[in-house]
Amino acid sequence: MAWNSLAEFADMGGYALYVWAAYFMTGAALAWEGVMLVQRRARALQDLREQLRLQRGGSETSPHARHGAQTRP
Amino acid sequence: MLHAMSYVDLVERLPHTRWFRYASPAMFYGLAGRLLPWCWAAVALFGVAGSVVGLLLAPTDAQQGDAYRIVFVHVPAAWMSMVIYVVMAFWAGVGLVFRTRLSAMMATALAPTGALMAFIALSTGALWAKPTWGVWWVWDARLAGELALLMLYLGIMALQAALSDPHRRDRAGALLALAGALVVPLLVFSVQWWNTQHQDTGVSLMRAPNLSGLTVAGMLLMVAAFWAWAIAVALHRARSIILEREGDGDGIERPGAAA
Repeated sequence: MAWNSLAEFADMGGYALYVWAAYFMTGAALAWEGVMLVQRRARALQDLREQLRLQRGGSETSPHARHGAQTRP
Repeated sequence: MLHAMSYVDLVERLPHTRWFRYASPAMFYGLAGRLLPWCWAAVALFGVAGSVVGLLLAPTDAQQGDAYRIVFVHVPAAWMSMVIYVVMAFWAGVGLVFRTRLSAMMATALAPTGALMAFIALSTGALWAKPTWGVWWVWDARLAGELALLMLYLGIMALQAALSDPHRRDRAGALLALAGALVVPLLVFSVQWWNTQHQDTGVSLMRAPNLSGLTVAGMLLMVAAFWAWAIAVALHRARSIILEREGDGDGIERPGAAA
Protein backbone atom coordinates (compact mmCIF):
# COMPACT_ATOMS: atom_id res chain seq x y z
CA MET A 1 0.00 0.00 0.00
CA ALA A 2 1.42 3.35 -1.09
CA TRP A 3 -0.75 5.41 1.28
CA ASN A 4 -1.01 5.95 5.04
CA SER A 5 -4.45 7.55 5.09
CA LEU A 6 -7.51 8.15 2.96
CA ALA A 7 -6.73 11.88 2.85
CA GLU A 8 -3.25 11.15 1.52
CA PHE A 9 -4.75 8.86 -1.14
CA ALA A 10 -7.26 11.51 -2.16
CA ASP A 11 -4.54 14.16 -2.38
CA MET A 12 -2.40 12.03 -4.76
CA GLY A 13 0.81 13.68 -3.61
CA GLY A 14 -0.52 17.09 -4.61
CA TYR A 15 -1.56 15.96 -8.09
CA ALA A 16 -5.15 15.14 -7.14
CA LEU A 17 -6.68 17.42 -9.78
CA TYR A 18 -4.75 15.87 -12.67
CA VAL A 19 -4.85 12.23 -11.59
CA TRP A 20 -8.53 12.16 -10.66
CA ALA A 21 -9.51 14.18 -13.71
CA ALA A 22 -7.68 11.65 -15.92
CA TYR A 23 -9.45 8.71 -14.28
CA PHE A 24 -12.79 10.52 -14.39
CA MET A 25 -12.34 11.30 -18.11
CA THR A 26 -11.55 7.67 -18.82
CA GLY A 27 -14.48 6.35 -16.79
CA ALA A 28 -16.91 8.87 -18.25
CA ALA A 29 -15.80 8.17 -21.83
CA LEU A 30 -16.18 4.41 -21.39
CA ALA A 31 -19.55 4.80 -19.62
CA TRP A 32 -20.76 7.00 -22.48
CA GLU A 33 -19.75 4.37 -25.01
CA GLY A 34 -21.60 1.75 -22.96
CA VAL A 35 -24.79 3.82 -23.03
CA MET A 36 -24.44 4.35 -26.80
CA LEU A 37 -24.03 0.58 -27.29
CA VAL A 38 -27.15 -0.29 -25.33
CA GLN A 39 -29.16 2.39 -27.13
CA ARG A 40 -28.01 1.23 -30.55
CA ARG A 41 -29.03 -2.36 -29.87
CA ALA A 42 -32.39 -1.27 -28.46
CA ARG A 43 -32.99 0.87 -31.57
CA ALA A 44 -32.06 -1.99 -33.91
CA LEU A 45 -34.42 -4.38 -32.13
CA GLN A 46 -37.16 -1.75 -32.15
CA ASP A 47 -36.77 -1.28 -35.91
CA LEU A 48 -36.97 -5.04 -36.42
CA ARG A 49 -40.11 -5.23 -34.32
CA GLU A 50 -41.57 -2.43 -36.43
CA GLN A 51 -40.74 -4.25 -39.68
CA LEU A 52 -42.25 -7.45 -38.41
CA ARG A 53 -45.42 -5.66 -37.36
CA LEU A 54 -45.72 -4.07 -40.82
CA GLN A 55 -45.21 -7.43 -42.51
CA ARG A 56 -47.89 -9.06 -40.38
CA GLY A 57 -50.20 -6.11 -40.80
CA GLY A 58 -51.99 -7.53 -43.82
CA SER A 59 -49.74 -6.46 -46.69
CA GLU A 60 -49.72 -8.91 -49.56
CA THR A 61 -45.94 -9.11 -49.78
CA SER A 62 -44.45 -12.21 -48.26
CA PRO A 63 -41.92 -11.77 -45.48
CA HIS A 64 -39.13 -12.58 -47.93
CA ALA A 65 -40.25 -10.48 -50.86
CA ARG A 66 -38.44 -7.39 -49.66
CA HIS A 67 -35.11 -9.14 -49.60
CA GLY A 68 -34.67 -8.75 -53.31
CA ALA A 69 -34.02 -5.05 -52.83
CA GLN A 70 -31.65 -5.57 -49.95
CA THR A 71 -27.95 -5.47 -50.56
CA ARG A 72 -26.20 -8.70 -50.05
CA PRO A 73 -23.51 -10.36 -52.08
CA MET B 1 -19.80 -17.75 -59.27
CA LEU B 2 -19.10 -17.25 -55.64
CA HIS B 3 -21.71 -14.56 -55.42
CA ALA B 4 -24.34 -16.80 -56.90
CA MET B 5 -23.84 -19.35 -54.16
CA SER B 6 -25.64 -18.94 -50.91
CA TYR B 7 -23.56 -18.81 -47.79
CA VAL B 8 -24.89 -22.15 -46.69
CA ASP B 9 -23.65 -23.74 -49.94
CA LEU B 10 -20.31 -22.05 -49.51
CA VAL B 11 -19.90 -23.19 -45.95
CA GLU B 12 -20.77 -26.78 -46.87
CA ARG B 13 -18.08 -26.85 -49.56
CA LEU B 14 -15.27 -25.52 -47.44
CA PRO B 15 -13.00 -28.07 -45.79
CA HIS B 16 -12.66 -26.20 -42.51
CA THR B 17 -16.36 -25.76 -42.10
CA ARG B 18 -16.19 -25.16 -38.40
CA TRP B 19 -14.30 -21.90 -38.65
CA PHE B 20 -15.49 -20.50 -41.94
CA ARG B 21 -19.01 -20.92 -40.69
CA TYR B 22 -18.46 -17.90 -38.46
CA ALA B 23 -17.78 -15.70 -41.48
CA SER B 24 -21.54 -15.75 -41.95
CA PRO B 25 -23.09 -12.87 -40.00
CA ALA B 26 -25.87 -15.10 -38.67
CA MET B 27 -23.36 -17.57 -37.24
CA PHE B 28 -21.12 -14.83 -35.95
CA TYR B 29 -24.07 -13.21 -34.21
CA GLY B 30 -24.58 -16.27 -32.05
CA LEU B 31 -20.90 -16.84 -31.38
CA ALA B 32 -20.34 -13.21 -30.36
CA GLY B 33 -23.36 -13.41 -28.09
CA ARG B 34 -21.87 -16.38 -26.29
CA LEU B 35 -18.46 -14.69 -25.96
CA LEU B 36 -19.76 -11.37 -24.66
CA PRO B 37 -20.41 -12.30 -20.99
CA TRP B 38 -16.82 -13.57 -20.71
CA CYS B 39 -15.47 -10.35 -22.23
CA TRP B 40 -17.44 -8.18 -19.81
CA ALA B 41 -16.29 -10.34 -16.91
CA ALA B 42 -12.68 -9.85 -18.04
CA VAL B 43 -13.22 -6.08 -18.24
CA ALA B 44 -14.52 -5.99 -14.67
CA LEU B 45 -11.87 -8.33 -13.29
CA PHE B 46 -8.83 -6.73 -14.93
CA GLY B 47 -10.19 -3.20 -14.57
CA VAL B 48 -10.75 -3.48 -10.82
CA ALA B 49 -7.47 -5.33 -10.24
CA GLY B 50 -5.51 -2.86 -12.38
CA SER B 51 -7.05 0.16 -10.65
CA VAL B 52 -6.32 -1.28 -7.19
CA VAL B 53 -2.72 -2.10 -8.09
CA GLY B 54 -2.15 1.19 -9.95
CA LEU B 55 -3.82 3.58 -7.55
CA LEU B 56 -3.37 1.86 -4.19
CA LEU B 57 -0.43 -0.54 -4.25
CA ALA B 58 2.14 0.74 -6.75
CA PRO B 59 4.75 2.99 -5.15
CA THR B 60 5.07 6.71 -5.88
CA ASP B 61 7.46 7.50 -8.74
CA ALA B 62 10.76 9.04 -7.66
CA GLN B 63 10.76 11.72 -10.37
CA GLN B 64 7.13 12.40 -11.21
CA GLY B 65 5.52 11.81 -7.85
CA ASP B 66 1.95 10.54 -8.06
CA ALA B 67 1.21 12.32 -11.34
CA TYR B 68 2.68 9.24 -13.05
CA ARG B 69 -0.37 7.21 -11.99
CA ILE B 70 -2.10 8.62 -15.07
CA VAL B 71 0.04 6.13 -16.98
CA PHE B 72 -2.33 3.30 -16.02
CA VAL B 73 -5.11 4.71 -18.19
CA HIS B 74 -3.08 6.78 -20.66
CA VAL B 75 -0.80 4.08 -22.08
CA PRO B 76 -3.43 1.32 -22.46
CA ALA B 77 -5.75 3.78 -24.25
CA ALA B 78 -2.96 4.99 -26.53
CA TRP B 79 -1.94 1.43 -27.39
CA MET B 80 -5.53 0.37 -28.05
CA SER B 81 -6.09 3.40 -30.30
CA MET B 82 -3.28 2.06 -32.52
CA VAL B 83 -4.11 -1.65 -32.23
CA ILE B 84 -7.76 -1.01 -33.07
CA TYR B 85 -6.72 1.01 -36.12
CA VAL B 86 -4.55 -1.84 -37.42
CA VAL B 87 -7.32 -4.39 -36.84
CA MET B 88 -9.90 -2.07 -38.42
CA ALA B 89 -7.71 -1.46 -41.48
CA PHE B 90 -7.14 -5.24 -41.75
CA TRP B 91 -10.86 -6.05 -41.78
CA ALA B 92 -11.51 -3.11 -44.10
CA GLY B 93 -8.91 -4.52 -46.52
CA VAL B 94 -10.33 -8.05 -46.28
CA GLY B 95 -13.82 -6.69 -46.91
CA LEU B 96 -12.60 -4.68 -49.86
CA VAL B 97 -10.80 -7.59 -51.52
CA PHE B 98 -13.06 -10.55 -50.69
CA ARG B 99 -16.32 -8.62 -50.32
CA THR B 100 -17.22 -10.52 -47.20
CA ARG B 101 -20.06 -8.81 -45.41
CA LEU B 102 -18.85 -9.53 -41.91
CA SER B 103 -15.39 -8.03 -42.47
CA ALA B 104 -16.81 -4.65 -43.40
CA MET B 105 -19.16 -4.81 -40.43
CA MET B 106 -16.25 -5.52 -38.08
CA ALA B 107 -14.31 -2.56 -39.49
CA THR B 108 -17.34 -0.33 -39.01
CA ALA B 109 -17.86 -1.65 -35.48
CA LEU B 110 -14.28 -0.83 -34.46
CA ALA B 111 -14.09 2.81 -35.58
CA PRO B 112 -16.05 4.45 -32.71
CA THR B 113 -14.07 2.55 -30.07
CA GLY B 114 -10.80 3.53 -31.73
CA ALA B 115 -11.90 7.16 -31.73
CA LEU B 116 -12.80 6.90 -28.05
CA MET B 117 -9.41 5.38 -27.21
CA ALA B 118 -7.60 8.15 -29.08
CA PHE B 119 -9.71 10.71 -27.24
CA ILE B 120 -8.87 9.14 -23.85
CA ALA B 121 -5.17 9.00 -24.77
CA LEU B 122 -5.16 12.68 -25.76
CA SER B 123 -7.17 13.99 -22.82
CA THR B 124 -5.34 12.00 -20.14
CA GLY B 125 -2.09 12.91 -21.91
CA ALA B 126 -2.91 16.60 -21.57
CA LEU B 127 -3.72 16.09 -17.88
CA TRP B 128 -0.35 14.40 -17.46
CA ALA B 129 1.60 16.92 -19.56
CA LYS B 130 0.44 19.94 -17.56
CA PRO B 131 2.05 18.97 -14.22
CA THR B 132 5.14 17.32 -15.76
CA TRP B 133 5.96 19.44 -18.86
CA GLY B 134 4.19 22.59 -17.69
CA VAL B 135 1.93 22.75 -20.76
CA TRP B 136 -1.25 20.95 -21.81
CA TRP B 137 -0.05 20.33 -25.34
CA VAL B 138 3.07 20.47 -27.48
CA TRP B 139 3.23 20.01 -31.22
CA ASP B 140 5.53 17.04 -31.43
CA ALA B 141 5.37 14.00 -33.69
CA ARG B 142 3.73 11.62 -31.26
CA LEU B 143 1.05 14.01 -30.03
CA ALA B 144 0.29 15.24 -33.53
CA GLY B 145 0.17 11.63 -34.74
CA GLU B 146 -2.36 10.69 -32.07
CA LEU B 147 -4.45 13.70 -33.01
CA ALA B 148 -4.25 12.66 -36.67
CA LEU B 149 -5.42 9.18 -35.63
CA LEU B 150 -8.46 10.64 -33.84
CA MET B 151 -9.25 12.75 -36.92
CA LEU B 152 -8.98 9.65 -39.13
CA TYR B 153 -11.41 7.70 -36.96
CA LEU B 154 -13.85 10.61 -36.96
CA GLY B 155 -13.37 11.07 -40.71
CA ILE B 156 -14.14 7.40 -41.40
CA MET B 157 -17.24 7.57 -39.20
CA ALA B 158 -18.43 10.80 -40.83
CA LEU B 159 -17.83 9.41 -44.33
CA GLN B 160 -19.80 6.27 -43.53
CA ALA B 161 -22.60 8.26 -41.94
CA ALA B 162 -22.85 10.45 -45.05
CA LEU B 163 -23.39 7.52 -47.43
CA SER B 164 -26.66 5.63 -47.41
CA ASP B 165 -25.82 2.64 -49.61
CA PRO B 166 -24.09 0.00 -47.43
CA HIS B 167 -21.77 -1.12 -50.26
CA ARG B 168 -20.50 2.36 -51.04
CA ARG B 169 -20.29 3.10 -47.33
CA ASP B 170 -18.10 0.05 -46.71
CA ARG B 171 -15.86 0.72 -49.71
CA ALA B 172 -15.33 4.40 -48.97
CA GLY B 173 -14.66 3.73 -45.31
CA ALA B 174 -12.24 0.93 -46.16
CA LEU B 175 -10.27 3.06 -48.64
CA LEU B 176 -9.88 5.88 -46.13
CA ALA B 177 -8.95 3.41 -43.37
CA LEU B 178 -6.24 1.83 -45.54
CA ALA B 179 -4.86 5.18 -46.71
CA GLY B 180 -4.70 6.40 -43.12
CA ALA B 181 -2.91 3.27 -41.93
CA LEU B 182 0.37 5.06 -42.67
CA VAL B 183 -0.16 7.13 -39.53
CA VAL B 184 0.26 4.13 -37.22
CA PRO B 185 3.94 3.30 -37.95
CA LEU B 186 4.62 7.03 -37.83
CA LEU B 187 3.13 7.08 -34.35
CA VAL B 188 4.94 3.99 -33.12
CA PHE B 189 8.37 5.06 -34.34
CA SER B 190 7.98 8.81 -33.88
CA VAL B 191 9.94 8.73 -30.65
CA GLN B 192 12.91 7.11 -32.38
CA TRP B 193 12.75 9.05 -35.63
CA TRP B 194 12.38 12.51 -34.17
CA ASN B 195 13.56 14.14 -31.02
CA THR B 196 10.27 14.48 -29.24
CA GLN B 197 9.11 15.70 -25.91
CA HIS B 198 7.13 12.53 -25.45
CA GLN B 199 9.07 9.76 -23.75
CA ASP B 200 9.53 6.35 -25.27
CA THR B 201 6.91 4.27 -23.54
CA GLY B 202 8.71 0.99 -24.00
CA VAL B 203 12.00 2.17 -22.56
CA SER B 204 10.68 4.34 -19.77
CA LEU B 205 8.17 1.81 -18.57
CA MET B 206 9.19 -1.71 -19.30
CA ARG B 207 12.96 -1.57 -19.19
CA ALA B 208 13.55 0.89 -16.37
CA PRO B 209 15.86 -0.94 -13.97
CA ASN B 210 14.40 0.52 -10.79
CA LEU B 211 10.78 0.11 -11.80
CA SER B 212 8.57 -1.54 -9.23
CA GLY B 213 7.08 -4.89 -10.14
CA LEU B 214 3.74 -3.56 -8.91
CA THR B 215 3.86 -0.70 -11.43
CA VAL B 216 4.47 -3.16 -14.26
CA ALA B 217 1.73 -5.44 -12.93
CA GLY B 218 -0.71 -2.52 -12.80
CA MET B 219 0.14 -1.61 -16.38
CA LEU B 220 -0.33 -5.16 -17.65
CA LEU B 221 -3.66 -5.53 -15.84
CA MET B 222 -4.94 -2.26 -17.26
CA VAL B 223 -3.78 -3.19 -20.76
CA ALA B 224 -5.69 -6.48 -20.38
CA ALA B 225 -8.78 -4.57 -19.21
CA PHE B 226 -8.65 -2.21 -22.20
CA TRP B 227 -8.17 -5.13 -24.61
CA ALA B 228 -11.19 -6.88 -23.10
CA TRP B 229 -13.20 -3.65 -23.33
CA ALA B 230 -12.32 -3.15 -26.99
CA ILE B 231 -13.22 -6.77 -27.85
CA ALA B 232 -16.48 -6.69 -25.89
CA VAL B 233 -17.57 -3.38 -27.35
CA ALA B 234 -16.64 -4.34 -30.92
CA LEU B 235 -18.54 -7.64 -30.66
CA HIS B 236 -21.57 -5.91 -29.15
CA ARG B 237 -21.59 -3.17 -31.80
CA ALA B 238 -21.04 -5.70 -34.59
CA ARG B 239 -24.14 -7.55 -33.38
CA SER B 240 -26.14 -4.34 -33.55
CA ILE B 241 -24.83 -3.68 -37.07
CA ILE B 242 -25.87 -7.20 -38.13
CA LEU B 243 -29.36 -6.54 -36.77
CA GLU B 244 -29.52 -3.21 -38.58
CA ARG B 245 -28.38 -4.58 -41.92
CA GLU B 246 -29.84 -8.05 -42.08
CA GLY B 247 -31.69 -8.74 -38.88
CA ASP B 248 -34.86 -9.50 -40.81
CA GLY B 249 -33.27 -12.36 -42.70
CA ASP B 250 -31.96 -15.78 -41.76
CA GLY B 251 -33.76 -15.74 -38.42
CA ILE B 252 -30.84 -14.05 -36.69
CA GLU B 253 -32.93 -12.57 -33.98
CA ARG B 254 -36.64 -12.69 -33.60
CA PRO B 255 -37.76 -9.41 -32.11
CA GLY B 256 -38.96 -9.94 -28.63
CA ALA B 257 -36.12 -12.28 -27.82
CA ALA B 258 -34.11 -11.41 -24.77
CA ALA B 259 -31.54 -8.67 -25.32
